[in-house]
Amino acid sequence: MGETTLTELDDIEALDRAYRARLLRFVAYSTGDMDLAEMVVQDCLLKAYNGRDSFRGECSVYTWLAHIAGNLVRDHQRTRKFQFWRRVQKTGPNLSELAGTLASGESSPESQMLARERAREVSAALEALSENQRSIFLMRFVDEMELQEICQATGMRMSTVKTHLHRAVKAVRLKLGGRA
Amino acid sequence: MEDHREGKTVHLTDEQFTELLMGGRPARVQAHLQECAECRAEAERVGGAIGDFSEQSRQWAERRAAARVLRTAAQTLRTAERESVLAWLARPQSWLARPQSWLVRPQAWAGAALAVALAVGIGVTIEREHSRTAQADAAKAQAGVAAARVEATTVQAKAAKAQAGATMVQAKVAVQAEAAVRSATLKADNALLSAIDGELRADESAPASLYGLTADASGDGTKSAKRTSN
Repeated sequence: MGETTLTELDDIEALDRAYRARLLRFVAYSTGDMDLAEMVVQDCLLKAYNGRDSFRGECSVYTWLAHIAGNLVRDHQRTRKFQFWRRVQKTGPNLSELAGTLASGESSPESQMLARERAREVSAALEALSENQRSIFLMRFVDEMELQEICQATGMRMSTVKTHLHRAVKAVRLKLGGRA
Repeated sequence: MEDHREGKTVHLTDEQFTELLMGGRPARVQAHLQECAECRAEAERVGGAIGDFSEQSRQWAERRAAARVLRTAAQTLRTAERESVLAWLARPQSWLARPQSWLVRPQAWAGAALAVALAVGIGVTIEREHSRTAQADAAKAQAGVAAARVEATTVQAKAAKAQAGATMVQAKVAVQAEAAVRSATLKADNALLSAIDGELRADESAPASLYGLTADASGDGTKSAKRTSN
């Protein structure tokens, strides 16, 4: 563990500032539940701070945090197994709606509308994926983590990660009108 | 890769497409994209959609995290204000003696204004209560006066009744007196008339004797008179 990492983990406010938004995005789109995401991220940061002595520095801080967040998400999904996505899809704002409400960096209104529509289609495709496929897709294409980092964060082998990723990409392509 | 074996076009495999989306650009894939407009269009469409999704989710997460920071800061500020006001309220005995930094703080003034408003509110409530009590007392007194008036009227009525009774007695006495006077007058008149009648009868016997006619001592005068008249 380097000196910088030590400082970062020793200051929970700095940890929060540096990683909350990124973790929130990953957890929110992994679970489809924004309120649950807030709770999981809070737990994740506290857990990381309290267990900072166990961080050996073999991966980046974010990879370590993503690993903790992934475990917390799985714990919540186990305890809320029967109400999780079903409830979100029926009553809560789903990921498609969330993506559609966000402003785009595109300049013209038409471009912004197209961008929102494309993002909504990706969100809709993600909702149909398995938990592992969705998490790995998000880690790679949203968090821009390397495959090796994904392996560390998920504890999966490289071949397993690649398989999940290929299936996820295929599902998204199909949703976007690609070839079967 | 464009492959026209047996007349069928072969496009990028799923793995190659995933690699392409991940940023990998092997020479064979690059060559295929230059030749195959279909794969090129799909790569642009899917890559662009994932990029849009990534960007929008990033914006959402940053806004949400920033909103949380603002909420936390506001909460911290509120807590500090509350503690400041409580601290000020906890030691009111010496506030005049010290230079007061809180005097220039709007939060302290807000607290003081709240305290004044509460005091005024309590004062108004007490004043209203007093007013209500006074009104009740006045109503009570008015009711007493009315009761006294009713009593006085009753007494007056009784007095009038008594007066009427007395008048009736007086009238009765007067009537009785008048009757007595009338009876006495009648008696006196009767006595006078009887006396006059008696006097008149005495004057009538004297002329008969004068004519020699005397009354029989044993007989009555009527028989003698009759014979005389025959």
